[in-house]
Amino acid sequence: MSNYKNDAATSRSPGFSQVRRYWHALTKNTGVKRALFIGVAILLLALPRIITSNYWLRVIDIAGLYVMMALGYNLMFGYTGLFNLGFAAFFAIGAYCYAMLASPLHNMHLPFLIVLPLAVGLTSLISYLLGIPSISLVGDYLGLVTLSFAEIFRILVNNLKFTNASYGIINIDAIRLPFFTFKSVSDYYYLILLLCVVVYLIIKRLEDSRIGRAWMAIRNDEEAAKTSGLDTRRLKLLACAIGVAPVGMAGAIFAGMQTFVSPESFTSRETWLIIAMAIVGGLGNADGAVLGALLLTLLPEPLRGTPIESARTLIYGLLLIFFSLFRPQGLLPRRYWKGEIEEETSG
Amino acid sequence: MTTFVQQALNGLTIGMIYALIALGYSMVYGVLKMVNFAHGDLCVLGAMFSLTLLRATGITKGRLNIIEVPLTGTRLVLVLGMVFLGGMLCSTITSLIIERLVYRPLRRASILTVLVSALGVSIALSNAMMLVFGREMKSFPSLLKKQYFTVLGATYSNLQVFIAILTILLLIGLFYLVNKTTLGRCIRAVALDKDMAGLLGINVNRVIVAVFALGASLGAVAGISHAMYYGQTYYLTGYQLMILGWASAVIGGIGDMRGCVIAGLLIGLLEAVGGGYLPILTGGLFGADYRRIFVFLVLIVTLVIKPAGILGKPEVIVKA
Repeated sequence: MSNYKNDAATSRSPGFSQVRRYWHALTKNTGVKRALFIGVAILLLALPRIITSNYWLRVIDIAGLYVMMALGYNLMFGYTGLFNLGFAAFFAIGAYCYAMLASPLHNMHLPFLIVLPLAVGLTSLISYLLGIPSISLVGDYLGLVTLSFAEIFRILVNNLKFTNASYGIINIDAIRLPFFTFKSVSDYYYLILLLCVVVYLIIKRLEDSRIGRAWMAIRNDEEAAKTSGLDTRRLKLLACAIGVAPVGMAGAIFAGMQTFVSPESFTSRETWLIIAMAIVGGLGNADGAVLGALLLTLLPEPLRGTPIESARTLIYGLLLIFFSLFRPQGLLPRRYWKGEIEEETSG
Repeated sequence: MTTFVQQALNGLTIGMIYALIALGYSMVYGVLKMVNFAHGDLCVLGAMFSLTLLRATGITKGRLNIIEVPLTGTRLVLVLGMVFLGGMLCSTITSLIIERLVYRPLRRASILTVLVSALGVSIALSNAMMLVFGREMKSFPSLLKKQYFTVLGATYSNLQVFIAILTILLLIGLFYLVNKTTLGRCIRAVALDKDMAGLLGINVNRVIVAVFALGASLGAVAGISHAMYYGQTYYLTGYQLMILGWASAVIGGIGDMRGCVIAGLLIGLLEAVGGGYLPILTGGLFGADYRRIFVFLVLIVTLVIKPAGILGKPEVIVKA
């Protein structure tokens, strides 16, 4: 018997669960686990040496940014069940924060180490403030508020002189640390890899923590969670603030990497894409978010330039429908601990 | 004063369109307790399809879809009939397919799964429209020969009169249907309690199908009116219509039809009057581009102060 068990829905497909059982039996062995871990780590570190094409490295960089955002979305929607439809705005907040503080537009050139915490903090703060009036609304209403917020933000950025309106901001400083300036895509690769790992570890730790379990309790049944003594309001606000932090971070790096931002880059399409990643990968599971983000950024890439490319959004939409209908738990569903699964199956 | 009357008249016209869209959201929400994200796109689909009809029958010509010979008399009535009925039919059929293939299997699923599927439908539909009808903004003929009236110093076009009369007729018809007929009684029963209605012998599936058909038809009329009013249609308009229609439904109190109409008119007014006065009041610092901000601010404020909307009942919307 493995430590983990499949949840009720996965066990419907025997082939898949068979594979999973072998996988768990294999990875239970710590030696194998360690070897796998080291293998993956070496592969990730050596990737810029293996893939020499700048184009593909760039695609991987972007995929890394999406990994961060999908992890954030997973925290808000997957763990806590907060339906946020305004993720593009939070991405934009991070990006514009860096763009305005490190570009000729306002003649400010603050270093990255100062701007990054600012961008992340500002994104979290705005999400928290938006949450204060709206957090007690259920599902779709919260979605409407966040969607409206994203629209307000888009209109403002598109029209204010302060953000250079629809022209966008050009000549943004490249990201630089005190002794090092990021120039090539492989430099950025290591930065993004590092931050992805950090975000992943934090969110993974949160998932298994008291807070993470409280979030999931809220998602499953808010009233029961409240009755058990959880301060659901505070916990949900916390999820709002933490969930968008990696998105703001991704935005800041995006701005530094592109050296150009315009409102065009932060349309609702980004939000849909992030949602699709989190859903396809599997909600409530950090590994799922990573898998979903990688799949949905890397797989469509060979299609670029072909006629299918213009149908990308169509495919994302169909994926959302398909997964809702046939596999709502996503490719990598949350694994349940033995105690949890016994309740699930008996209930 | 003239500016105010002018903006108010424009606002009321556009508000009627929003009211029609909001009704579609509200009715579907009433029976299924879900937000049909795809509704905005269904509205645009109606407009797109009727434009295709106009081109296919050779009534409009060229890239700009110009009507060379002004339509008059019976011909005008026939063309208008074709445009509206064609658009309504296309939206309704699409809506029913979506209901059957996506929403019906998910009727017992968790609300978050349903929301995600609805979002998927919306994205897929708008992208499919782009692929089928083209990604450019298309000009849409107003069909009526432009005539203007002066009311209290403000100009009012015959198109605005047409949209207003059409909407009012549809609203009267809809309120009659929902309040006075057997189907309407069934719809209200299903909205109140689906399971109980089923136990009492109402065919719940048929009622839901009727609601989707009604919503999509109203939406198509709204979409076509919107396209005629602004003289253009674009596959991404559905997204804007979705937000505004949904916002109207929520502000009015989702599930409440009178509330939807009032809120739709209110949002139209707010947008037009706000957009008209903002540049004057701020000395040109904030242009009319900011007009939508009012709508969203009002929405957020409404949700905070009275989450159930102007006329809604406060039960399901706020949890814990």
